[in-house]
Amino acid sequence: MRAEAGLWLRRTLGVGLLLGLWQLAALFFPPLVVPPIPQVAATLAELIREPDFWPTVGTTLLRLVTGLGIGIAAGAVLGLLFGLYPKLEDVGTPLIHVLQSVPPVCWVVLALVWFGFNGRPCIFIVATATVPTVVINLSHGVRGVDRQLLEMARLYRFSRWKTLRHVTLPSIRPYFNSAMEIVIGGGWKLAVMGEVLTTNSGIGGAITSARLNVQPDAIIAWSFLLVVGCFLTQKLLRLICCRKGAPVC
Amino acid sequence: MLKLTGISKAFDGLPVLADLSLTLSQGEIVALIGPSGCGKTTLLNIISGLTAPDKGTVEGAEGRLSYMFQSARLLPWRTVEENIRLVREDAPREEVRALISAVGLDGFARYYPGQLSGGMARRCALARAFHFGGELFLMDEPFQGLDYGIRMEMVAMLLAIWRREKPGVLFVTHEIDEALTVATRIAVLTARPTTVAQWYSLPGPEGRDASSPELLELRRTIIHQITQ
Repeated sequence: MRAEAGLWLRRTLGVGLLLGLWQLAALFFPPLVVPPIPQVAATLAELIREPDFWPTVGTTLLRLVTGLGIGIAAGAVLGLLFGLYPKLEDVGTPLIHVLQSVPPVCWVVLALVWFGFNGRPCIFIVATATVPTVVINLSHGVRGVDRQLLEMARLYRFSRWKTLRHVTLPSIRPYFNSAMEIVIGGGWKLAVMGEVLTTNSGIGGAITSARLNVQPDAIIAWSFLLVVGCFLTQKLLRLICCRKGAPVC
Repeated sequence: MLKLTGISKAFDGLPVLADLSLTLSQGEIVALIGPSGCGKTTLLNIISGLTAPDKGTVEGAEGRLSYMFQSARLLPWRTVEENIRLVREDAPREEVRALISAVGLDGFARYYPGQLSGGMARRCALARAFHFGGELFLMDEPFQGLDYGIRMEMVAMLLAIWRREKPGVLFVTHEIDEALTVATRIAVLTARPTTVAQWYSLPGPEGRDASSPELLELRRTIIHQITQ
């Protein structure tokens, strides 16, 4: 309990420091460059009360979740296969390299041509960015599974499926979790960037109109909401992924 | 039942086993005694099929075999009970519970291996091996690191299973007394490259008196052979 209180104290201190720096900067720059905290807070409150606030957030969330879902599913299948069958990995490595090194902006432009101005490019870039991270983490994880445990499974005649379920998958859980943290964080950023570049809906759309109306306070307010959203989704994932009592998390 | 003929194995040019042969009939308990590093674990790995020999053949190890490794090798994300049950899932729950209490882990069924001491983890692994059963038990220093009382209980348990199902048991040990307590035959191994230096036969383990003159004499002979 004491340790937890200390943790929260230190975290609050970290947040306080950030806000302090910001407010300090606001004293030296005009509000159009660095809007002060109270002004942003007022804008934020106003934003949340607007009738299309939740639909806007929902639109982005749906795109994010769809993109992540496709990316994670495809990445998990490929990652497991690559980890289990190294020869298959040799074949798949070029694809992963392509996905890793082609910048998201290129994908956005290509996806616009392929899908049009309808939000799908946004889903597409989230998925393409998610796949390589998941694949690389999981294939490394599968190859790192304790050989002694695999031998044990073999001698006790575990079937392929049973070995996968009781040895391999639990072993790679930490790899999966770290991949999730990375792709969720990156996914939020890419989803909004995709919206800014290809649509006028969702949070990205709201940011575009804030930019057109020169409202840096609104952009910061949305950014704040994005930070909160990212934090909450990562927490939610931890809740789902970490079974109570199990030692590996 | 189990027949090894001319087994040789080298690792990176270092010969570990050299032309080793042995047989083990059903219902025999064979103890392998030898200096550490002489390839006893390698031998068990070859019998179980985990390692392929460079030369020689293994016959009769195709059936169900239960291997008790030197380390516990429990699944860290499964409880004591789950670890044991997983190797034979069709068995009734009570059977697993009974085994848990037989190895002195009462009250620890829902613990994870990380929450157990080393000795407790070994007992769990032992229970798992017993639960799996089979025609052949391979045991790599199965009772090492257990205190005397528990060790005697484990030995008694092994003998109880042996009496009931008469599997062949091949176990590796450093402890001459352990071998003298349970083995029906003892193989003293040479230093690397290892082969069998000498076989000793004993009467059945039932009602054996480890302090009888014959066994004390045998003990002296084996110690003499090992320290030679």
